[in-house]
Amino acid sequence: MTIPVHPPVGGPHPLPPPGDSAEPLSHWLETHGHPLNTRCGGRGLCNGCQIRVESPAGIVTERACQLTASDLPADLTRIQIPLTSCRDASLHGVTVFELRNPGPPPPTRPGVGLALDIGTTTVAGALWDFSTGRCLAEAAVANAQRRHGDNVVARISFSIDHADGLGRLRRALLNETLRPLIAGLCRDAGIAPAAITQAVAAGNPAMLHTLAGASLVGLATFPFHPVFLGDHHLTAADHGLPFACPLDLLPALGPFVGADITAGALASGLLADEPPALLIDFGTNGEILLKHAGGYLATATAAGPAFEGGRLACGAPARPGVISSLTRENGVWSWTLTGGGNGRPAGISGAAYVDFIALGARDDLINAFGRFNRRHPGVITVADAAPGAGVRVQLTEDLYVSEADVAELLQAKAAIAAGVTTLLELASIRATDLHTLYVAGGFGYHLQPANAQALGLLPAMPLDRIALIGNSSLGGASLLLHPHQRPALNALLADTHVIELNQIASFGDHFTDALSLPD
Amino acid sequence: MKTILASLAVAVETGKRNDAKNLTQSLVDKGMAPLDIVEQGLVPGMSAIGNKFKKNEVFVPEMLIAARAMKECMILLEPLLAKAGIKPKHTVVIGTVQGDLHDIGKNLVSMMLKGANFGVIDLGANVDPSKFAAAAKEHGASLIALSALLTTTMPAMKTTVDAIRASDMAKLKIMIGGAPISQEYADQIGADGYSADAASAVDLALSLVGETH
Repeated sequence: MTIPVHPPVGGPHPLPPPGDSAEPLSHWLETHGHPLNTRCGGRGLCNGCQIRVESPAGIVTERACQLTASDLPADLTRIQIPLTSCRDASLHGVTVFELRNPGPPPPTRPGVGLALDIGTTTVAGALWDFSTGRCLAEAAVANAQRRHGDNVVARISFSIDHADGLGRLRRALLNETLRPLIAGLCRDAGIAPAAITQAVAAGNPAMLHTLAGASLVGLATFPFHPVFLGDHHLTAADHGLPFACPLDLLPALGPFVGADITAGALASGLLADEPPALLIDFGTNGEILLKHAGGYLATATAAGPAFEGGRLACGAPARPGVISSLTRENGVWSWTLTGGGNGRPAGISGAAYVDFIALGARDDLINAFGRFNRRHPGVITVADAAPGAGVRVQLTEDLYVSEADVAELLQAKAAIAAGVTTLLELASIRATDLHTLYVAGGFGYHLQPANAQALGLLPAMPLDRIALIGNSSLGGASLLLHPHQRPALNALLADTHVIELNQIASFGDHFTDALSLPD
Repeated sequence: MKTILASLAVAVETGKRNDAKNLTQSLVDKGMAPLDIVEQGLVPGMSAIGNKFKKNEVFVPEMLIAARAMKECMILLEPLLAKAGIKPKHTVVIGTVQGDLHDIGKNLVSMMLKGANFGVIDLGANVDPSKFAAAAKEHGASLIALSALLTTTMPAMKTTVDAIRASDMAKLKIMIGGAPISQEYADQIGADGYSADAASAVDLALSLVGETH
């Protein structure tokens, strides 16, 4: 007996039923080559892994992570996997970066450089031809470790709680993520991997630890004791990488303020800027670096996956076909899709949720606490909805935003905003004094800064001082392929004070302040 | 005074901290007993928002904003309660376990418990396992509440429960909570109860100390 599974592309795929009756169907589908978007970690909190279960009685949409084989109807005709439930292979915007650091272009020399940004969610890479200074190829793939959890802490736990957990994380990153990424980059560039003469990787310490095969135990509990934070060099052959040169791991600033921020500080131009200047790198961990007259303050703040669409009823990462921005004129919502086009929107990106809250508040659909105005014609109440999803604003036939979604986003926003406020307070700097605010990260690249300010996500300051710089971690890793850039980091590494926000008495108060919209 | 108390309850529920503080001060100025202000103003406000939370009518942000309004009122009232020699019937020792610095969820539960008339001894975050039993003994507490926000710091919860059970306060009731915690985990480590959120934490605390409501 087999179960007929219909993926969105390719023909039907009949599968043997799960051997273990307690196995969630999401896990079973993954082992048979159909990984679903289990972005909430398979906890039944999002709609990422929805499948359609068809029988003569009709079609029922269910979360695959909450189903086992025994939940399927006896007269099942087929299981359909919608396109929106597939774990995306690549995300938009993560290979876009700007190099704003001043100085002369690097001298030309023979060779090819590989720059890597190893993110918890997405891994991006770029190949550079040193003889011309040109970028030969750039690409991004999903981090295959995601099946073991959607955030850094979940990965650390996985490494501790499972037999060979660290080995499994390492192999997922090396064999299933980096090697295919590097092979694809070389194919696009028309070179052999062996032609790579220099390689540099940025990423948070947990990712670089798994890559090096270093224990994550020291990152699990406070006080943190990472195995390494400074420069680290991996012999490519020991890690099965297809080139002869070592892979240089860039130095981190602290246990949760990683080499991605070190690299971003260089790529943004912040290192050369007049203080005060601020860099915010948006990810599931928001990392913040403040340059002030006396040095640097850095911190990480747990924003969670909401800005990447996680744990939201219709949320999605900014991949093609997903709503990337929203406008509202005369009471009518309109949108643009990531990558363009006029298709049926497949989800709502984090940046579009920011637009939604800003415009909803402007037009009195939403109050300062994120509650919907039930008397507004744009707000509807749906009976029999999931808890918290009954009062909603319908954007398209398929997509809506609920009060529960807005509450989730306000908490993510508060984590970032309170982190920024706390750093500025520690350095006695007002937001309006900042010369420049650099906004990095895939989510940040799609933001409309004025709407982000209306939400209180970005500090109130003149818009012309805000720069969206994309994946500055990949940009910085690219720059650091050139040895003459390395000394520029020394002042940053020596003069940075890393702050644990939870140890700052005022952080909790700033967090509560930031839970509502600014006046 | 009745209308001021009603306004105070609404100010707490809707998180208007300045209004709540001013109304509390005006009741104090009018000579109302601090315990009456807590029981007839703050407690109704916090239980109103707690009930709405349980019905999914409000969410975590509004709970936190309401709890802070109540906290500002308690800052005014706590010295007066102490001066009047008012001792709450039940005292709970609360803290976040060792290795974990997160305290926003724990602070919310603290405030909800104060809003239900518990005396609360808050040990803060990253608390050494041996400190809970010692504090419970010192303050005559009948309940210990533990918080952990990370899957990586959950194991410290077991260590802490074991430390309490090995102490001379072994019979104390222990309740646990936090994002990664479940009833199953509570059973596994020998805690007496688990609650999924701050509003139900109050119900659990009351039932663990033998109060029905």
